[in-house]
This record gives sequence, structure tokens and C-alpha cells, in this order.
Amino acid sequence: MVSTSFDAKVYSLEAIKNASYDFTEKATIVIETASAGRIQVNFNVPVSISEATPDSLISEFIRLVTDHQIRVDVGRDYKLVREMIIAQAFEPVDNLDIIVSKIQP
Amino acid sequence: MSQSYRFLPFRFERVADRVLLVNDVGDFHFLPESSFDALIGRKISPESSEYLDLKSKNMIWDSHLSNVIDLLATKYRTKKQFLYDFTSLHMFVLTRRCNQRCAYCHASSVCVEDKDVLDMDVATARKCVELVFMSPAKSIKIEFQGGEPLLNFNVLKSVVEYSLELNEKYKKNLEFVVCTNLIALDEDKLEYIKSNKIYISTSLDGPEYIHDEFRKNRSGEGSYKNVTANLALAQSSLGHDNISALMTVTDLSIDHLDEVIDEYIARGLGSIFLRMLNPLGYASAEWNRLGYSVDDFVDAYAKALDKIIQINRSGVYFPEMFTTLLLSRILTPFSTGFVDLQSPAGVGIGGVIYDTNGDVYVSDEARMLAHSKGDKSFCVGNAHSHSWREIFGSERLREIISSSCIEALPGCAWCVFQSYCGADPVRNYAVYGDMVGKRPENDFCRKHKAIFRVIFEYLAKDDEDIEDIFWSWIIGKPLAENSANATQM
Repeated sequence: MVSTSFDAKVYSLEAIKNASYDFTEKATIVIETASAGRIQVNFNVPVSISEATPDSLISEFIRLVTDHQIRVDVGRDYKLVREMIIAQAFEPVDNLDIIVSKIQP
Repeated sequence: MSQSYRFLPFRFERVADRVLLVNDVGDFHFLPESSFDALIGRKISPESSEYLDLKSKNMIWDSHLSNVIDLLATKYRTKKQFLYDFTSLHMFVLTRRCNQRCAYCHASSVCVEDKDVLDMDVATARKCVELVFMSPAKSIKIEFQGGEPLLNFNVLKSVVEYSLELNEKYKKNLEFVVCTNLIALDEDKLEYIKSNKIYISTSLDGPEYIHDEFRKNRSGEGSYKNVTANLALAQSSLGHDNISALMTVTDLSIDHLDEVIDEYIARGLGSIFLRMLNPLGYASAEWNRLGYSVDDFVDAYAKALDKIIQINRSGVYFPEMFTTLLLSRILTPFSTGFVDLQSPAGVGIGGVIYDTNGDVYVSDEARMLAHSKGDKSFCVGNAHSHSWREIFGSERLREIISSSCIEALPGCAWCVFQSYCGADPVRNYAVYGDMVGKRPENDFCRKHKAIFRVIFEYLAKDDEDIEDIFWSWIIGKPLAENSANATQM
């Protein structure tokens, strides 16, 4: 069993969960709350692919989590605009200018 | 840190030392890693060319948000046009009988006896045609499948004639396609096909030694000589543009696709469709003999695509059709009808298949699941006993469709290729027992992602010759013809 942990103030559970999903071919993952605001991730690696070193496995996972955290952060920024694009695509409104006037760059 | 811009919906993936960004409407842009970091940190200077590129590719916005939303909404609606078109592809299984016994047959066809049990009858065919014309789609394609559809030619004729009769009233853009191995083709059938403008789609796996290994007639002899003789006959009668072929890559041909391509060109076929073997029907049982890995297929596909591009560079117009389909999605704003790869899936709402007894399945794979495993989970009604509204408005169809919106599926939701891709709920169900499936270990997903990466490697080269070739495939005209038109303009 290999494990690592993430600072819950920096990394969201969503990013860790999404990275874990992408990683399911390489390891069975258990996520749990650790002490002092940290999220612990435990990896159970199948023997067939266990030639990967624990360090390289964890490094790859951290890179995945980092990219997923970017997706979460960027997604939070565009969420409202995305919903408006799709709404406007299928049920357009005439007063879009007024509706979006409070959203600032 | 500048706060002068905000993000628009996009997804990304790191590719070598660059990052590929694709937005919800399919616009794409490559950024060096350092620029991507600057983008995410909101440190890209508004004066830089990268800033203008990102803004013009709709990855960021800084003003006039309502205009940006209107523009992207229009593009989004255009990409999802297939939702408004509704079911345009209607496949008729005229018979389950076949005069071949291909080792990898997906349709699990059976021998030519048992005609009464295995053929569609005229009454069923007419009921199915009536359902077809209830579709709101302006364009209707009726595709004859089997088994071997030419073995039930009288019913094929009755479908064509009743469709033409109904179309006097409905005024659809009506097309017919027959998917045939050509073996049963004769002068009379050919004359009927020609006079009714029926397009022929056939199968040729390559040169004789490849084709005959897996495509044999019922007595065990290879069908190459018969198929190629009738292909030449059909080409001379119908013209080369009215016949296309696809090939199924097997363990034998995977290292010889260059010979397959040469065979297609020698036979006057104007394009090729490199199709990966699916573990369905007989292929499932024979997988150890016929199968190969996704990685092996994508390697072979990449080498074959390179050869095909070289052929086009030499002045011969010869597209690979799956690449062309994906390029249309990547490079144009338009919706492309490929029911296996769209979101939501085209099952039922893009294409539908009518079995010999009038059972209506959401896809060919759904029908195969019923025949091979007795599982009719994706049968949504019967032409004799259900109305169009009961079939196409059913809760079951809605459930299937809603499970195939990749925007909300794990793995797909954050995939950089989401805007061009789709999911197949029937295949997921067949493999995983549920319609959502598991992306990281899914061959369907791995294959498509790998092929997208091959195509984006070409696009990243900014090679004008390659881009011209790709565009010639998308618009379906040879390069020389495009140049002549451009000069005239």
C-alpha cells in the first residue's frame, strides 16, 4: 500500500476524486480525511503493474490532481457563462445584455 | 496579476511540451506550457498576440459578454443540429440469411435456408416504411442491411417503391443505400439499383490473400474473385462515385494496410474506411484468432494515414473516411451525422434499425445483443404493435439517451476531445452491464482518444499542404478542383 496526502485548503475533493477516476487502471484508490485539514489517498497497486516505483506512481497522480484542480478552478470561473451559452442556444432571450450586465471581466 | 479577462468554457490536455485547449464548440488552440501557466495565472498581456489568439478562439473574454454568449450559443446550436433533425438514418434488416460466413460477422448471420423465419416480409416492411415517414427529419436515408440484403430483393423493391409513393406526400430528401457483399448481384438487380439511384456500400478487406482469409462463402471458399468481378460490373454501370467500400482490420491485415490501400486504389475505389474489429457477434468468439489491441490498431491506423496523406500529396484524391468525419467535427462548425459518436448518442434519435420481424432497435449493436445473448434491453417497440409516438417518445428511449450525454459522464466531462466525441450506451451495457461504463479501461474511449491525438499531431504541424488535403476530404473534392475554384473566384 502506497499513500500520499493533500492540503484540503489547496486541493479540492472534486479534483482528487476526478484524478482517482482517471487512475483506476493503475491502482485501486481509497480517499479518506486525514488529520489537520489533509486528504489522504491510499493506493493499492495490482501486482501486474507494480513495476512502477511508488515515487513515480505518486508523482504521476499528483500531476493529475494538479491538472484537475486547474479544471475545477477554471470551471468555477466560467460556470455561469457556460450555463448561459447553453440556455441561449436552445431558448434564446432578447434581453441578454441586461442579464449579463452584472458580470464583470 | 491582471484580472482583465475571464475564462470561457474550455478543456485541456498536455501534449508533449504543449497544451491543447478545446472549447465547447470545438474551437482549438495549442499553447506552450509556459503560456498555459500564464493563462491560468491570468498573466497573459492583453497586448500580446497570444491574448488575441485566445480571445479569437473563444477561450477568454474581456468585454461585450452578451455578444460572446450569442456567438457561442449559435455555434453550440449548430454543433447540436442533429437534435433538431431527429431520426434520419433508418436501417432495414431485410434478412438474417447470408451467402457468406465471415469469421468476424457482427450480425451473427445464418445460412441461406430457413427463408420464412429469417426474412422480413412485405407487410412488415410496409409498416416500417410508415414509421420512417413519421420522422420529422427533412432528410431520410434508408439503408438495407442483413445478412445479405440482396437475398431478399423483392422486399427491398417493395420498400423502395412504397417509400417513393409515400414521399410524393412527405417530400423528404430521400436516399437509399444497400450494404451488400455483391455476391448475389446480377444484371437485373443492378438495373433496378441504377434506376432507383441506390448507393452501394460494400466490403473489401484487401488483396485476395487477406480478403479470403476471413470472408468466405458458405462452402468455405474465399469470395474475393466474385466480389471484385461484381464490383467492376457495378462500377461500370453505376459510376465509381456511387459505390464505396469499407474494410475490417484483422490480425492478418493489421501489418499490411499499405497493401490494402494499394488494392483499393487499383480497384478504382475513391476512399477507404479503416474499421477496427468490434468484439461483437462471431468476432467475440473468435477474438483470440482475429483480435488485437487498441494500441496495435492505432499504430497501424497512424501508419496507414501517413501513407494516405502521401498518396494525396502526389495528386491522387483518396480520403480515409473516419479521419474525414473527425476532421469535419474539428475544423468546421457543423454537426455531422455519425450516430456512434455524438452526444447525446444517436441511438434511436439519429439512427434506428428495423429487424426482420418489425422489432425496432436503437442501433445495430442493440439488435446484435438481442440475437447473440437474447437481451432485448434496447428494443423500443415493434412496427406492427406500436405507434411512432410510443416508440420514439418512450420513457425507455429517453432513459437511454440521457445516459449518453458525455458532458455529464465521468472521464468524458473533462476530456479535451469531448466537443468532437460521443458515447455508446449499448456498447457500455454489453461490456460493463450498465449504460455509463468505465472510461479509463474502455477500448472505445482509448481508441478514439488515440486517433484524435494522431489527427491533432498533424494539425499542430501547421503544414499548409496537409491542411489543404484535409479540407479537400471535408468538402469531398480533389485538391486540383479546389484550386481551380479558388482561382475562378
